[in-house]
Amino acid sequence: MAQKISDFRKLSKKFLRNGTAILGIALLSFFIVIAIFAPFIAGENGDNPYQIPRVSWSSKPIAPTAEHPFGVIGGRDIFYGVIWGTRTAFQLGLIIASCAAVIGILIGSVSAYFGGWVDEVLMRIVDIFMSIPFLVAAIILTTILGKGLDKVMMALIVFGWMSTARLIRGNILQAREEQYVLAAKALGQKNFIIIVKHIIPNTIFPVVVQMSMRIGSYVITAAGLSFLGIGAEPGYADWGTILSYSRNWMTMLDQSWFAIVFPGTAMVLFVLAWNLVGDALRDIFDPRLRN
Amino acid sequence: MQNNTLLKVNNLVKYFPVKAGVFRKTIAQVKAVDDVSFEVKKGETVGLVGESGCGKTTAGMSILRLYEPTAGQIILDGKDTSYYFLSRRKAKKFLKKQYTEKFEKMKQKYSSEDQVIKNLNDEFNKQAAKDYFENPHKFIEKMMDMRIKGRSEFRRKAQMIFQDPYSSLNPRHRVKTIVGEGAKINELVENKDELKAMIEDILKKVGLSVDHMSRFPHEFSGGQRQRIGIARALILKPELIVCDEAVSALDVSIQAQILNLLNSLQKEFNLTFLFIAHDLAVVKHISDRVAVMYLGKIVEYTTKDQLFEKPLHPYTVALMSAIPNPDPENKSHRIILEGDVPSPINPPSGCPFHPRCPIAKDVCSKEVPQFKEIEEGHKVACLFPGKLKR
Amino acid sequence: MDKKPLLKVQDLKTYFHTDDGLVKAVDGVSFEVYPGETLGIVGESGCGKSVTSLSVMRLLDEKGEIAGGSITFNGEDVLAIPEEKMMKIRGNDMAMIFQEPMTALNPVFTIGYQIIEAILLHQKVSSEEARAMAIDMLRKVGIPEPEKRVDEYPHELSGGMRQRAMIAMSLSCNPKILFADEPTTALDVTIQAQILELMLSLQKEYGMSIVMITHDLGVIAELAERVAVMYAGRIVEYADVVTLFKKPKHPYTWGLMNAIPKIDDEKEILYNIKGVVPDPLSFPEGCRFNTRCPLAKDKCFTDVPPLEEFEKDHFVACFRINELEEMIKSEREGELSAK
Repeated sequence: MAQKISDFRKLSKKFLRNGTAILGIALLSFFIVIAIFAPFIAGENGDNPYQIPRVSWSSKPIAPTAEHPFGVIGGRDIFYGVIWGTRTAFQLGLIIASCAAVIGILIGSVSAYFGGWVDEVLMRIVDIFMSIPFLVAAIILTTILGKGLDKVMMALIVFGWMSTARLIRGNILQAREEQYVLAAKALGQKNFIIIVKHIIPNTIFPVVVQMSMRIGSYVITAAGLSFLGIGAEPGYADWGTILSYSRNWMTMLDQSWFAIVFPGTAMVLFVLAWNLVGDALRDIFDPRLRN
Repeated sequence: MQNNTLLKVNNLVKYFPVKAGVFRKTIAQVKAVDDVSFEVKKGETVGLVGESGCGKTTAGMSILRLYEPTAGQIILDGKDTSYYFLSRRKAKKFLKKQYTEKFEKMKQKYSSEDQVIKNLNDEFNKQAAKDYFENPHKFIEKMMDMRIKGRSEFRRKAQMIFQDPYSSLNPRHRVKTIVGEGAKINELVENKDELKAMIEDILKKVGLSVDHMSRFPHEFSGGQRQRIGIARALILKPELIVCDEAVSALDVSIQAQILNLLNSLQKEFNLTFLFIAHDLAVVKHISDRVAVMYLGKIVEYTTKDQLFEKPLHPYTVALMSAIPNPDPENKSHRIILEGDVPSPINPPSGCPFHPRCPIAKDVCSKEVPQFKEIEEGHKVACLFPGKLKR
Repeated sequence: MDKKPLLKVQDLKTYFHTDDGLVKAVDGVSFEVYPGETLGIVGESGCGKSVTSLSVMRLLDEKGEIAGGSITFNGEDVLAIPEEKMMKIRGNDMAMIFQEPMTALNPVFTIGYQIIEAILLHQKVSSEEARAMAIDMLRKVGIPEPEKRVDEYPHELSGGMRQRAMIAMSLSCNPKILFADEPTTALDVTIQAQILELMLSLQKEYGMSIVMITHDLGVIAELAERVAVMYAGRIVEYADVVTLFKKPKHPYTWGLMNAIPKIDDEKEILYNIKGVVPDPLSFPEGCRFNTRCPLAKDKCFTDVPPLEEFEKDHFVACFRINELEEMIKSEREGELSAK
């Protein structure tokens, strides 16, 4: 037990000495706080808090004022949109990443475990999914399914599991060759238990790291779809939606810069936070670093 | 019946298919182990020595069924275990081929059951034939019944120590989990306290202390990790331990510690070792008998003393002379072999050693030398044994 | 020996600044290499033998630092040479071969290209001449059909052939000194014999000095003329090869010699150097072998034993040289009683 504590201490010491990791954690905590306290920071819009309140009926952008610190575009309060958009971003990122990971892990491990033609067929399916340009596929799927954030999520999940499947398959194939797996077999351990006790714990962590790295990129892609007008419904508290309002004012950046800068900054920092955390997680999970 | 022999390997073959293309068609076979036979007596150490790629590790793994052999018979403690780890269908097929078809064919040839028994060359198969002819159906039935039960018995009796003290221990498990796993699987203990006592006992036996129990493998040095690997195998109280290059990854001073430990454990538990190594000096130190492998085949097999005093196969002679002798005043006169070991996918015709053999003659590339006893207890596969002198 | 040393290393200290603390990988090492001779540096993993050669070649990574001492090569102070000139010296006057040639050869270029590149870098010849020299060199290191092999990629060669190619590359500019870091450890015995034979014959032909770094006492006995035994970053014994093997005076050297199984010597029990090599982050005070030495007492735990001349040209770093005989005697008795 004492050993475990000192292990943990050594790790956390290493972790804390790593500046970028601290920055990542700080940024992420910042976003978490904003997401939790969104109603207190930006207020709550009556019956549907995820709908940005309309503050003006003119579509003209209004520069930041004390009342609307990030300004107004399309008649919507940008500050409200950015704050509540944080919640949307977490929902998007976490749901897509975890669903894609579950599907990927399932398919990857089935493929690695059974091998032979099962592996062959599944990997060809992965290839097919990967060969379709992601954005095109997402556009087609959302056009078929219809508008709405849930549809965006579905599209991203359907086209987001492949790399996880490949990663986990590769890791399992590698772990299967490890001598400790052979040793467990030599002791008479059942195949199923070998997978649960020896292979999964040694293969799952890279997936977790990859998952955290990809949360940011999912949010960007979803924003891209919203920007193209095939994502969230108009007025939804989502960074991409606010950006999409600025589409019509692109040529007049002096009047609409705030509609790009504030949600844009939020997005960049959000992606950065997850990437830094992903990096830090990789360091933590790498057993070699504990030596 | 052959009380003295613990392990008998008959005509073991392991081919690895080389697959290519979309349909994973087998385009070639890596003949890693190609018709290997030997036996290991109770309580002795047999060294299996050869260079990388000669099939020694594959042979060890196949004997323990960590790889399923392509063909051959593996008899442990008087029981044919070859079919234990096959599926029901494949096991039936194996038994039919190994016993029913073979005995029936021989019966036709020799026309009497007694003659068949007489003509079989090893004790185990003689007895099997006797039982078979008494009641063929019951014989097969009985063998099939033993299959599942035999598995755990086999795992308990035959264990392995691995080469790499780093990859052979699961980095996420504590020492007690690693060492205790075998005892739990094979239900050697009834409760946690018993398990704990057992682990403590075995850790002490291999020279580790009780406070090491809750640590992770990465906190240990290579030698200590190898001790953990030994403890993991030892907890099952096995009879046979296959040591696959168990000391070759270790530093010189640690290697000596582990070799001494294996020696003393062998005495204490009456263990039988199949010691696989590439280092002839280590093999000489620990073994009673030595088998020299080259390209999937055993080329020489005899007692240690015979082998080192009077090696008969030219490969053995060259191998011995190639070892740098740690004595500057007595530099070994080297026989330098030309070239590299050929690929086991496409081994040379005739004697597999002939392209590198300093005394090879034309006939060597045509005729496959039989692996036969030349002197009492000294088997060699060479057409001109003893012709190459140091 | 009255000759002038080609390489003189004095009180070399190489430290590594790791995340876990300061590692004194080499801590006060002195030795000389004379022209045309082979010096063996022997020790177990982590004793600092590889770091020593990397320090001399000035090839340490950014974490490593030469914290003290001097290196004189060919009359020049190596530590004062600017990096640009050092690059010229490396490959030209000093060369190195490694344990795993696969990692030292670039997989995307043919071996011929890599040798030619090295020749062109250091010698003023045309590329056709360089190619002819490369083929010639490959022939010299015993690679069959060098005209064909020169255009092959490293992965197309076997381990032994790769090591030969590596040797060809390092010798292509006729260096004065060759550092060989475990050059045969990854090879099979019969291939190792080929490579050792090759190195000996090339040394005869070119007259270069070799620093042979290995853990294998057998290789040392075959190849080296003088030997330095390293333990935990220091040289513990330094003598000519026959003296060292016949009359080792440091308890570690003696232990090492008696811990290896030998092909022509029957022994039930190998000598057991108890314990393990100390953690490089916290080497013990005094003699660094004191945690494992049966003779260690008093001064061994407080003072660092100096490497002193015990007999002519036989240096030992031990306070208890005189007690070694007794230790050997009691060990022998222990063995007898164990039987």
